[in-house]
Amino acid sequence: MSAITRAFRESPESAPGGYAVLARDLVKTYGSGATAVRALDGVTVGFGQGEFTAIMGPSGSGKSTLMHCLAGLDAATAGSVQIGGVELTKLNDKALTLLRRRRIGFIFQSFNLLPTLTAEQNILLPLDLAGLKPPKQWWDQVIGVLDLGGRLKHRPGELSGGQQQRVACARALMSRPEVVFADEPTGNLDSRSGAEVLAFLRMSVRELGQTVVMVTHDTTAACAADRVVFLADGIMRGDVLSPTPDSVTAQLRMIRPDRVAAGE
Amino acid sequence: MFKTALANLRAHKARMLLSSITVLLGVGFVAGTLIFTASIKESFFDSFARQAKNVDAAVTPAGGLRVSSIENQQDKKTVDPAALDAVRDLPDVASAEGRVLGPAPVLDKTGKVVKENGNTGVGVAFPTDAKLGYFDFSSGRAPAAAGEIAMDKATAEDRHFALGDAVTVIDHGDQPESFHLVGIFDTSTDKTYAGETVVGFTTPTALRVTGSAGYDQIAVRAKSGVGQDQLVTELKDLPVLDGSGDTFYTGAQLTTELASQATGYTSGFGTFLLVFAIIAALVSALVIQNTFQILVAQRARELALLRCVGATRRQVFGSTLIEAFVFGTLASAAGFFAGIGLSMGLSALLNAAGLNMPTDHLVIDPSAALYSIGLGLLLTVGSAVLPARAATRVAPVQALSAQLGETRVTRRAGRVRVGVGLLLALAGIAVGYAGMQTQDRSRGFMVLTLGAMVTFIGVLALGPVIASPVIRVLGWLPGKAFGPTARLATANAGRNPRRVAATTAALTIGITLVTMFTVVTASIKASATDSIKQHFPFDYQVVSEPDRSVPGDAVAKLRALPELGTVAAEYDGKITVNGGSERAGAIDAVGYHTLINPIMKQGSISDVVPGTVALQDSRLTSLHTAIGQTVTVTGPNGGPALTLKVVASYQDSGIGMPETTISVADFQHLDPAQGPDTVSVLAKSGVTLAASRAAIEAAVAGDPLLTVNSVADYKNQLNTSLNQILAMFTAMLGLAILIALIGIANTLSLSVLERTRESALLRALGLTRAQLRRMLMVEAMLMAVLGVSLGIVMGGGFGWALVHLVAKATGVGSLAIPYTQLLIYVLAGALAGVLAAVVPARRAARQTVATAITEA
Repeated sequence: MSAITRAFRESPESAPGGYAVLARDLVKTYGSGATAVRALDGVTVGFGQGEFTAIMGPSGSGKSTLMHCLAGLDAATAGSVQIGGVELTKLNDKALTLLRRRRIGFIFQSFNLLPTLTAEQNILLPLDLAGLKPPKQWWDQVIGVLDLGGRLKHRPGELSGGQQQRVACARALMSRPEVVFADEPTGNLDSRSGAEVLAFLRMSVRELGQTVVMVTHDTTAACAADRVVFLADGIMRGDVLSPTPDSVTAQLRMIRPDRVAAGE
Repeated sequence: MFKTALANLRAHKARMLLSSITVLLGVGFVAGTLIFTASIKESFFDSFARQAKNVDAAVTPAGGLRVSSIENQQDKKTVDPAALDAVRDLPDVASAEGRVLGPAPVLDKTGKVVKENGNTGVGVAFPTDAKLGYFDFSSGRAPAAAGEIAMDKATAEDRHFALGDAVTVIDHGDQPESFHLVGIFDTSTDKTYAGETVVGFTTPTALRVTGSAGYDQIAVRAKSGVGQDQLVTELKDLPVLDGSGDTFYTGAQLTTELASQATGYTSGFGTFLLVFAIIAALVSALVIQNTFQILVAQRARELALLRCVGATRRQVFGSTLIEAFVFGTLASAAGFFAGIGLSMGLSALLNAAGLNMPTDHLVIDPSAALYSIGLGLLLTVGSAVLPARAATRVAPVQALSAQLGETRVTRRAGRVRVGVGLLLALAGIAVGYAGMQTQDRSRGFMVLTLGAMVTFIGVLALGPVIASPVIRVLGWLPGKAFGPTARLATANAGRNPRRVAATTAALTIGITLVTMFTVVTASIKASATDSIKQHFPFDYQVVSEPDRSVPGDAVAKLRALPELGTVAAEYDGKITVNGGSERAGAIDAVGYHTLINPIMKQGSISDVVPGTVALQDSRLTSLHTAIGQTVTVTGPNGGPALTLKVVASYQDSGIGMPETTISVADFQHLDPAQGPDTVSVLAKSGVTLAASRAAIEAAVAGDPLLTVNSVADYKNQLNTSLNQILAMFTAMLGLAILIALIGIANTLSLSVLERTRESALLRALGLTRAQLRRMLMVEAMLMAVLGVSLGIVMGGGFGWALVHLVAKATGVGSLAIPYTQLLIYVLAGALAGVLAAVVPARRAARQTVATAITEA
């Protein structure tokens, strides 16, 4: 696995077809003229199938923008994004929506469950919108792993933060998506719940064969991933494979020396 | 804090705009009503006042001035014609005119009698002194000779009469007379005769043609230098007028009297309109209150921040009220101007509904502005008090909480609310039931109305409890049809029952009233037809014009027709029974049980033969008599008394039986001059309707004043007028319903704003734009249908109670539920809900997903 990503880092075009998500020369500009801000300034990055990747970078580095563009939530100004071989930038809103529904799963920092629906209804929502039902075996497996069996009839308001995020994880996985995007999934959780969620994401990659892309600024969370890619000022600033707290901190220090100097 | 309030208003312009429309409409309706009422009042006053122009003194018969009254020509009191000459001979009198107003049916060029709104023409006398005239001639001149006639412009144009034409008028003796048309005058500015056919003659001709015994008024113009009071004193001293019981007016008094009559003509109507205006205003108050409530809830974080930086509770409260005040002033002022436009619309609407309430020009009273804008301000500031109090309860620490801006899903309504609501609803039903059991109809009606209002308030209080389950039931069908989007919509609509209940309450009010009117009118239609079938089972009626009789030869011709089975002449007039005046009816004995079937209390209607009488049940007590006793009756013009034995009594009201029924022979004995006013007919069995009708029409064709009506004709007439009334009620309530729908749009817009992030999440999870729009439309539709359904249930219940009350008091009346119409209301409500969602749904769908999802 590491050989593949290493090869891609040198030359994406020559990589084998094993990318779940592939972005080339991605540019995202907000505003126009003198006040224009280049949030993404030509990002090229690929995320391998069955790989757990974390995106790190300081505040304002463009990591959330990158994730939004990769997930088809926001339109890039220039460049291309492919998910499972489908070019996102050429899709209209409806096609993009249907793609999100079937091929992408989302996990958010603030859980983002619908308050009016029960846990079960929340989990089934994306499939429900597509008029589909999950295979029984898959349902049992996901619910079992996440230990949600006893909570399915509860509404989000009646669940703890950790439980809510587990419901969100189940929702993201239920459609067996091409890729799961997780935006600071541990940001609103206590350390124990956060560890549980990270463990689940790792397990879903190892045992269920899922692909996960996670945005985080928590070094501990990032170390749960197979690989960490770094972003600063809208530009890719290298990556670390099999990350450890030390290797990640070193890379962060490298891309923002001023901040580290002030902080440490 | 004033600056903060203003800044808030500016920042929430879009949110405030919709709410301000509701204030604008409510205030506009009130202002429109006030302006319109003032305008018709002034118009009536102008035209009534024309009759006082140049008049220094006036004499009217005892009982005073009647501006337009052509009914009861027979019994009406007049001023002795001899008085006019005596008045003219007075040295201080410059001129005097006898004014006459009476029936003068005009035939059009095809020989048919001219009818406008069911009324035949009226005849008036034209003065020789033009200064005392009150019509303007558009061409020609006033009639000066016995054979001359003048006609109103509208009739002349409609029926193609030109100067020089011959015009036939049926005189009081039913004889056609031909006149030479010499003048055409304009009554369009005259509200007294608006829409009527008016012809004018010289004074003696007018008296003869209309059959008036004397003048309705003598108008006098004084020589210059003679005071009005002095003139009246001189008139009073005239021997011919002295002791006659006549009423005297100075010119000034006449003007005042006319003004008060103008008010009398319009004030009842103004009150009627104002009731609807106030309903609209109340509905808009509900909508405004709801809007402020939501706005405060959404701004909780902002308010908490204000508290954080040191604003006191009082300042937060004040700031919210100031906002309401500024907002209320602007919206109310705009509403007042909208009202000016609306008053013109009202005029057009009422004229379209057949009510002639024309206005010459708009009268914009400062008081109308004061009242309507004041009301608008009161409503907005009043509606803001509770939300403003809620605003003070925001804790400063809430400013720091991240989860704000999202509303919690509230589940349960307060136990107190449930208790009070249930108590009110049950008490209201109990009071209403008691009202239904009351025998006295008007008291029963009052009690029932009270009960209905209390029930209504109770149900509105229970709204939040009812809303959730009802929405779940209503959402079942769209859930089947649209799948997950509709299920999401159902969950959203039910998530905040209190807000949904407050939003739909406004709609419920309007629909309750509309449904009630619909059920009552449908029931009247059904029972009126039933009543005719059961109690007056005629096939046809031949009727004469008011104050005229069906001539004897016409009755004879009808009796001779082989196509007819039963022909009975009916008489109607006033007699005196034991000293009191009562209406008396009589019908040929052949009509008993065949053409009239009253609801008898005692005896049988066929017991009425010469020498006996049947009475309304209540008359037995009021005349201190009983079955088997006798009463003394005299005719309208005195004459010999008859002693009649009371043999039967029938139910009082509801089916139009007169107070007393006597035999035809006795009737003719008491009032020899009065012929039958109606001939009721049953066709012979086996004769087709077309054949019998043709035969009757042929038999009466020679007499233009006779009209043939079938049961179907009556039904049509009744249906037409009831439909007009219903249409007018619906149009009046339409504005309240429109305000309520804007309220739904408003609530939905605000909900969409606070759910921006949630909508973005749904879009991220795979909800397409179209599905998002559909979801919001279904949500609005559910709210609208909830409001409409509640309204239909309550309005239906109230309608049923009203019909039941009338049926109990009169023995006539059965409930008819117009299911189709009610279903149309529900569907229209659903559609309106969808329309209300169009704008908010579009706005929600436009939102880009990425920005919305990150906005905390």
